[in-house]
Amino acid sequence: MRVGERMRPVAVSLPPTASLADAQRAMGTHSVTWVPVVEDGRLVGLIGDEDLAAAWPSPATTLTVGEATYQVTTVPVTAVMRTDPPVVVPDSPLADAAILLRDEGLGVLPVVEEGRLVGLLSAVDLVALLAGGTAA
Amino acid sequence: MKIDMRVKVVMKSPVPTVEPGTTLGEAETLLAQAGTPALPVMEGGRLVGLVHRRDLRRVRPSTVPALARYEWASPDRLRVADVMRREIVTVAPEAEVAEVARILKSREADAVLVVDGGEVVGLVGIRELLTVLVRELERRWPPRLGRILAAVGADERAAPALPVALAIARHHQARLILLHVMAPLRPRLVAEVGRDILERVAAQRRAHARQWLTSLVPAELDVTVAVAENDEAAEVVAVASRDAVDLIVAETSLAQAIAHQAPCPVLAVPAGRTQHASR
Repeated sequence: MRVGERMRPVAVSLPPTASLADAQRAMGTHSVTWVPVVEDGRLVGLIGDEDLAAAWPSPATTLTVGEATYQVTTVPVTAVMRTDPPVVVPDSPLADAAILLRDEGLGVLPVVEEGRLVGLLSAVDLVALLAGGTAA
Repeated sequence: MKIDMRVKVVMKSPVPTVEPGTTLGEAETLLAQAGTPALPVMEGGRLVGLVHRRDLRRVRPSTVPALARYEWASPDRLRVADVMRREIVTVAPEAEVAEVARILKSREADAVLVVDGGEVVGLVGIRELLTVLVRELERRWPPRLGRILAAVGADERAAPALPVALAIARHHQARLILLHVMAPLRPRLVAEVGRDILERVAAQRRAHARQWLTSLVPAELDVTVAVAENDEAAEVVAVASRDAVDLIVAETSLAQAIAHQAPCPVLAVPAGRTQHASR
């Protein structure tokens, strides 16, 4: 079984100039927990909802709600994204991808082809294979 | 791809526990050590909650220095009780792995606790299920070699690689490329005869070699034969690169000669070991 059979198209991506607030909005709108950061079709990073939660001002901030909201619109995603995430190609064996997902602690693996981002393979989708119901 | 497997054989066990009064700093350290996305919260021997790593990160001061400087909180002011989730998904040790997969897929929780008679005996997260999946995928689709190149010398004695390559190709149902590199003609001969005669001789030699190579091959295998001249090591490396070969099988001295330039793993077969290898 190959990565290409289980990957999904990229629902949403962000440019490097996007802010933390943009990232949160993208995740909310598309109900995803990981968003790739892309420049000219090329993957430059990956940001997860946990990275975003960790970067967000905690409830103990002395900033007012308005100030905090302003601050998160000024910090770019590049400040907290994971640069150089591991990637796979559509032809990679699914087992290799599953090992990467497990050992790197990522929720998704970017799938690239000739340097361009063509899809995402999510750990939850892989685990769903064990739930049965889907063919194969 | 439903698999028949019980939770108790895949769960992480034992699992460290925390108490409602545990500081978030301590809880974070324990989570990192355990490598799990969540930990059970116990109070007086009773399971009262689940603390998630993602919730801890939410209440920690920002990881961005520009934002963190506005924060006064240290993680030790807050306790596990402040962030733990009281709704907990549990399963029995005898539950099916498929059931846990369904729960994690629904994203109700990052981990499911395995409880036996009121006691927490283990935890299953995405990580544990990915391990099961890898094992299952490798059992159903074992890693295989697609193309094997065997370098075959001029006679049986010089071709110890052949039986080994045949056995591996059969096992992997791989395509086999048999490559025979002919020694160049003796320089004196080259000097004495004309160019056209020389070319006829070379063509004859190639045809003979081809015939001979083809005769070595059992009918049920997918085999290509190739004949080349001149530098054996260079030719083997060139063909392996051009045809995206996964493994080269060669006699030891040749294997040594190409090991550093080869685009794929090289299996060295000592001469005189053919009987043992082909058994």
